[in-house]
Amino acid sequence: MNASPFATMNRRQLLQLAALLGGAGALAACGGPAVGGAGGAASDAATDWAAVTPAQEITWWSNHPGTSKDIESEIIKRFTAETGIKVNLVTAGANYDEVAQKFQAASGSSNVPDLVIASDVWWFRYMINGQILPLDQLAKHLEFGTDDFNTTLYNDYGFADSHWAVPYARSTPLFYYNRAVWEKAGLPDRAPKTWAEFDEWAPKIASAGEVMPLGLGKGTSWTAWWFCNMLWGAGGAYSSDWTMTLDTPEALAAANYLQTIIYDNKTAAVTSNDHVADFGAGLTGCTIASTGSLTGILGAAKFEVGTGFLPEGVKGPACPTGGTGLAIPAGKSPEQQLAAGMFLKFLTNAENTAYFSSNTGYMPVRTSAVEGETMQAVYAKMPQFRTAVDQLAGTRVQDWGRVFVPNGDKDLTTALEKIMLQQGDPAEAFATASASITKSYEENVKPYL
Amino acid sequence: MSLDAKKLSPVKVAEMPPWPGGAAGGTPQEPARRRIQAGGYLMMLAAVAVMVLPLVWMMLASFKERDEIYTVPIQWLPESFDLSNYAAALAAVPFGNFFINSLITTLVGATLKIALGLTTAYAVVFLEFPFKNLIFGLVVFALLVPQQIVIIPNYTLVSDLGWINTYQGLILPGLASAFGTFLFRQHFLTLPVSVLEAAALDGASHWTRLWRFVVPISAPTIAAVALVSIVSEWNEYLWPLLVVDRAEMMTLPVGLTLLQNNDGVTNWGVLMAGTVLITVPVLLVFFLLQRRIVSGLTSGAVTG
Repeated sequence: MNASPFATMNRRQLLQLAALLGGAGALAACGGPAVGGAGGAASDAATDWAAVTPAQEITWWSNHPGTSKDIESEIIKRFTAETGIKVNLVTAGANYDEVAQKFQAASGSSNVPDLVIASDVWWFRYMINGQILPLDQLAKHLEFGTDDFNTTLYNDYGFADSHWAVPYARSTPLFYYNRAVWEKAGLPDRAPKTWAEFDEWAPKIASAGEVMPLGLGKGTSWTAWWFCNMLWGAGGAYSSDWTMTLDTPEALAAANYLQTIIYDNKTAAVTSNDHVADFGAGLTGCTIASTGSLTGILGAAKFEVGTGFLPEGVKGPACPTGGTGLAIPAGKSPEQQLAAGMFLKFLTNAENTAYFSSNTGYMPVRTSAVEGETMQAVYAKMPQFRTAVDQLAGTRVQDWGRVFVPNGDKDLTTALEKIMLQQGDPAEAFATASASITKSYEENVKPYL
Repeated sequence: MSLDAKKLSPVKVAEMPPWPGGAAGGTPQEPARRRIQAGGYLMMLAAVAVMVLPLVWMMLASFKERDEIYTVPIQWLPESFDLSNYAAALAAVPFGNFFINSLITTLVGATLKIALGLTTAYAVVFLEFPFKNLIFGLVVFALLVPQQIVIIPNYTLVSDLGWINTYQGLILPGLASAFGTFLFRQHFLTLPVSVLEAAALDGASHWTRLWRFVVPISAPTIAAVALVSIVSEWNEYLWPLLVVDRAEMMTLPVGLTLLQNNDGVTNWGVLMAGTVLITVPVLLVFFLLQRRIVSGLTSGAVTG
């Protein structure tokens, strides 16, 4: 597998995309206009960063992933002490989607932040709208040391020979289990290696703990993310480049398996709106949750929590990356952009990514931080964290149909929730999602590539 | 037409139909009617349960420890009515600040909405001017337009005016209340025109007629519009989220998100305590205005 999913783009497509970005074409359906002529690839290449003096005050819009407001504030304090640049931290929403709504609304105005959360399902939309700056030239000028970023995580933001964001609060889904229930059930102290093994274990888990064996979560930015594990593990995919592939036998097998464990085996369920809290309260024997939930779960659970890789499917292991990166809006002055770049470099350096990770559970985004002193101390105190970091090696970037097409994630979530909550026909639910995503691609993406 | 007394045969008491629910039994339709009535009450009870039980649960959960919330089977009552969740909620976010912001935006916003609704409806009903019906048609059409459609133009305008993080930015874009105008207009059509004509003959201006005559006899409708306006202003989430960047200007619903924990474990006891603090003021307003609401919402339902 290529490190970057964008290797399949041909020269003509690259040139078309460069033209689009140079002209800052707007996508009305994406919810916000382009940010004038400053947007797109041309603005970064044309800026002589050496001649720019950084602004003394910038604004950062965050949703404080993993309850990280205090951690973010502390990093800001350190940055201001070192550079004298003030950073205004704004709570721009309760989740990635709300930050995106606010950013889309603001993009036609003068109230755009200097730094914005850009999640896996949103950054591409910002990019194609000409709303964010390609960071390569700025990163080169500031000597970011981008080669030290985890390759998969950094390449998640690559398109058209540019990187449009840097990794920040990055996560993967992780398998969490209740060790007390496992022990009572006489199971080995590890996650099931495969879904077939989970099926063997599930009745023992149910009877030992008098709990629902597996609690599953629902909702946008979530359902279609963890389902990647079952889907890819079965040999399926949401899409191949821009072509939807939900009608393949492998994709349907994954959906049928999900429905089977819920309705036939009764070994999994969407227990409530907060499956993480349900697991922490001991209502489910195990769950799939973000690595970003790790410290929260360990703090809340009254039992010992075990973590493991996601179970493998018939075609082997499968795990998506997720979470959010940070992008610099295109419509700001070079002075603001330079100051934002300086803060971005500081925020994601080895020391601060380790500090952020150790306090939240998100991945350290730099390889040098993974084996650094701070993280070693974390692994010693919290061995579960090591699982999350180790699983990163087996991750792959996400299918374009989910993360690059406007409303792709939403349509897939609707389909999966129909399958999970209404026992809907998988083929029918997937066909509806495919048609909707294909239409969205044809209208909102294809004309601009 | 007179009745011919001779043609009226006397009715014997024994032949008279029994009083509904009386001792003498019932008409053949009575059991059916009772069943329908009972069914109606059951449906009403079910509807009330659907609406009230979550509120009861929220209230009780706000006193519970984390473990008590997640019990199977469900445990309704808390072990003790402990206020620690409220203390935690108040400590976690500046609730006082949020409360004042919500109070200002709600009181000013609702008052101006009512005033604009009253004056617009008065003009549409009692003044003669060109394209009156077309203008009212546009007001009704505005009811059909989802708020989301105008959010981006409104945001751009507010930003260009420099009203981000200001009370005017929070309040002004939502003032044009098509709902209030429509309801007031329907009510005004039922008012006795003679009263206003008499006032006009006495030299009362339109302004005087509106505030001295129309408003006092429209109290139930004003109460209904007031309640709807207060509740919608108080609960407004998306617009304050967009136009407020600073914590000190946040309203309660937006501020409450600071208690939530995305990609973590939400402490639902604390969140419920925060939600109770937001909900109680609106419930109090509702109980204060409820007598007038039904009559207000139904006034103008029959015209002509």
